[in-house]
Amino acid sequence: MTIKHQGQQYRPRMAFLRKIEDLVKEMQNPETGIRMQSQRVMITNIPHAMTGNDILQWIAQRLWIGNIEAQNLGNFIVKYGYIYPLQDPKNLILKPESNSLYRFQTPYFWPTQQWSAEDTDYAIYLAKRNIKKRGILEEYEKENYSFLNKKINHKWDFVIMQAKEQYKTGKERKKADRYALDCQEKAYWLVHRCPPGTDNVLDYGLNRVTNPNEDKKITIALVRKENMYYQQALMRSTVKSSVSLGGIVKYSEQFSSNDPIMSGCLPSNPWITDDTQFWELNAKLVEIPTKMRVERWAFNFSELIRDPKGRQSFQFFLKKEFSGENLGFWEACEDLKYGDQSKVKEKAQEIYKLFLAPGARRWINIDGKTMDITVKGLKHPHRYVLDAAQTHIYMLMKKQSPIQEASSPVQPKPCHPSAAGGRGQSSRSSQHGGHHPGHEQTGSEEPTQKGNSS
Amino acid sequence: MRGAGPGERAREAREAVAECRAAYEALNRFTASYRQLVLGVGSSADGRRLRRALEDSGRRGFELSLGLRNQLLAELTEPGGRQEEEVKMELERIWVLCLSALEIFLQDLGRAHDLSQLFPLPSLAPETQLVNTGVTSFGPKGWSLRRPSGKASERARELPEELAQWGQRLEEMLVEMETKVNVPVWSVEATVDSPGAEEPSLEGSAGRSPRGCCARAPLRLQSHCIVA
Repeated sequence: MTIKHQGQQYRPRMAFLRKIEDLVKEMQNPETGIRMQSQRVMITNIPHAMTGNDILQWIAQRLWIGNIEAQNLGNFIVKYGYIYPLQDPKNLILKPESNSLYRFQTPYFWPTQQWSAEDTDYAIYLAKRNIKKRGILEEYEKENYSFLNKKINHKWDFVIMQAKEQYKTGKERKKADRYALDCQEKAYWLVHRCPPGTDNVLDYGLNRVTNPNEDKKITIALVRKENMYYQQALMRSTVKSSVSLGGIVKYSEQFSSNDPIMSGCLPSNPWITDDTQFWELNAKLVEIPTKMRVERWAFNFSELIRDPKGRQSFQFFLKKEFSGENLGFWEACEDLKYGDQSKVKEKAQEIYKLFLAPGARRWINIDGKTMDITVKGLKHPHRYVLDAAQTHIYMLMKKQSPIQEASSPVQPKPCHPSAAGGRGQSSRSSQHGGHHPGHEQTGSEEPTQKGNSS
Repeated sequence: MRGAGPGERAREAREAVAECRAAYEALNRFTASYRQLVLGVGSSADGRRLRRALEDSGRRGFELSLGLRNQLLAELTEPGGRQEEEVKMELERIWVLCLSALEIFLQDLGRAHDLSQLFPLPSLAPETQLVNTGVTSFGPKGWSLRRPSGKASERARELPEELAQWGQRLEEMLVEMETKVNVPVWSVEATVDSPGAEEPSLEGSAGRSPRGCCARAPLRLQSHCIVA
């Protein structure tokens, strides 16, 4: 916790918390605030309880809003833990009745940006409750407890010792206070480690890289950095929004018939009918691909290459017409990029021996300049060292494939009869797969020629 | 003072460990009580007395932590590794315990500081009231200032005055402790029984990796070890 590492460690600004705090502070005013009552718990009286109705009315009057909005706002205040319910602690809403009681949370337990609810504290809290009465923890709390036991095992001695101490010190307080304090702590953890099934209201996504509270002093270095950043932003290639929107529309039109949500799926949607045939028919390397799938390959080259079955068919086709070294090289490059990085050096060497070295067994035909760059880069291999060569090969494959494939008899016997469906029939003949908009080129976009335009 | 034979040294070492342990337990107790105090800041239990108690105990906590740290440092960095394996392991365990307690103390200090600013007491503006939480007294009954034990308090250095400064110094100290001393935090095994866990062994991990190895480990792993 104290050692700050590089990277994301800052919580974002939570401006809404400050706003709620101001409101809550106003509620305390003895004259203009909320009416307080006493709560009777067995034989003790604990002060400072309020009814839900009073809270609601106060909010509505103070902010000049209607009851519905006040109810909404009241729910927020309870959800974030500034006010907690006394009778139904897990249900964090504001019940506007006059017999539902609430109490304010102590500022120590308010949610803040600076302090997050730490695992160690949670472990101590659970241990404390366990010490108080064994087995009182709920199922999800027990799970969390054993999970934390493994996660921070090296601190576990401390957790147990501190829990015992805190339990002892807690017992030394006045009975009424102790009751209130216990309720407070329980409410705090119900908000910050919510039970399964409830929304985690404080979820803000990932931590940030920069400190949002930091006061940046304007220095020359800072201005220079900002300058550089903006210049790079300006240099980024951009696309007119009309063009990119047009691209999205075209893409949606093209793929709409293939989309199981937009156009339904045959034989049936497994999520609805619990019949998994659809998934079986569309398995990655199924023997007979469905007709819809094959049609999708006709859209453009990257669809073909991305589908494992498409790749397989393509490889088969290439082996027949040409040797499949291009695809083999492409796959090896993918493996280098996304595979185990500890073996980068060996992999790169192997690829060189197999595909690039003069007289290699599966020598790929790339131009001299790219070969030069690649060989130079291989002296210090990293995951992107073969990018230039891979792009070159990709372009080659792309140019070759559609024209040849159309005239070759290697098209797979499409589909399972039930997947034939009555959707657009693609004509195999015009196979000039259109450019995937925005894929390789930014800026102007070529007109897409598709076989099946819906 | 070094005794004549190894038996003498071993006894001294064990005594030192026992002292460290006692000092740690004092710190542990203190952290729990301090937390009780901070729980009250801004609530209906708040008041001048609470704030004063906060300051006093903050100071004492600082004393305690400094003392314990110095003592542990002195024991751990004894030249030549003359200590037995068991003693060393025990010291490392106490070191980790101390670190954890300090983290909690530091967190509570920070919270106390923030909350005191949110509810500035002597000059409480007419609009800011204390939050009515139902709690009316601060601190446990018979809030007693337990004096820290012997050697630990002797070794405490001079203390800066302000609460905020303590927080900073404590944080620096914590960072120093975590980075400069050769104690791998995660190699300490729990000796306490927890529900569902089988009886753990008393010894720590067999192969303790030196700090250099840890520094080279990927950052993600490191944060998992040290961060709560």
